Amino acid sequence: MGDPPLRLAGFPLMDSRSREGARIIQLSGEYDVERERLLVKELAANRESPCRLVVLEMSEVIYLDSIAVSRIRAFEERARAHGNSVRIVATKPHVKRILSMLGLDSLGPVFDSVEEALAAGSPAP
Amino acid sequence: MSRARRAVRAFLQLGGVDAQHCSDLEVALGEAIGNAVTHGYGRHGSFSIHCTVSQRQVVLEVRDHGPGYDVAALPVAQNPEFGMRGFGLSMIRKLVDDVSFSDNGRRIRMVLKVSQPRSHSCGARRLAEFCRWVPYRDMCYQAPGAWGTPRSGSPVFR
Repeated sequence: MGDPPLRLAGFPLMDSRSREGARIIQLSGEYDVERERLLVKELAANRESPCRLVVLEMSEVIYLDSIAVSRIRAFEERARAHGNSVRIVATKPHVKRILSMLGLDSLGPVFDSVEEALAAGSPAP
Repeated sequence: MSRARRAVRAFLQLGGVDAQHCSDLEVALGEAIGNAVTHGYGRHGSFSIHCTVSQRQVVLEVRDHGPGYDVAALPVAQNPEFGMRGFGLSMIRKLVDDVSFSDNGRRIRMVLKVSQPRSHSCGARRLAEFCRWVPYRDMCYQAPGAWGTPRSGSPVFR
């Protein structure tokens, strides 16, 4: 069992927790320009995670726009610069389509579950 | 903003537009609104949406009530000058068949060709009803027609 979820006060949109040595950031709901700051805040809070692997769990995301995707890209680039890996989990077809259209799937495969993302192997040292 | 998207999605569904096109238009609409917020009126203004479903196409227009902006100066995707931003317009262009700006960037018109829509007038009427149900004071529907000062209870999204 991992740590209990951390929840931002007043915003039941995101959780983050540790599991099997990885940081799991759970995003849910809609991410558009109105919620950009919230997304940035949550990603920034996990920026210094000691975990080598960060999984963005987006199965419950029902909408995200290009600004949200650009923030995720920036987060992934920063993590990679520090030697960490970011894996994305998404299941909704239209969310996958947006990720693909904006090139986020070029960062690596989009997984169907956290288990799959964790089972994909440890990040290269 | 999300309510505006949902209202338009409901309108499109009632108009007989298939799920894939509804989804594409919802995303395009979100990007257009995002552009209006980011480059136009800012976070404290308002915008109007005008949607028409005909037998062959869907026309979706977003008009903000801000000072306008230079469309040519919009960030371009993957331009290093703008870092990670600038994907919105290129995404809209991928999702719809035609995009045009007017009124100094305050209005964006998007056209998507569709194949099996039903009568749009029914959808329009139902959307108006739908919007009245929503307990959101700034949400309403603008019937097809010329842009103008919204009447009381007419469609301005904040």
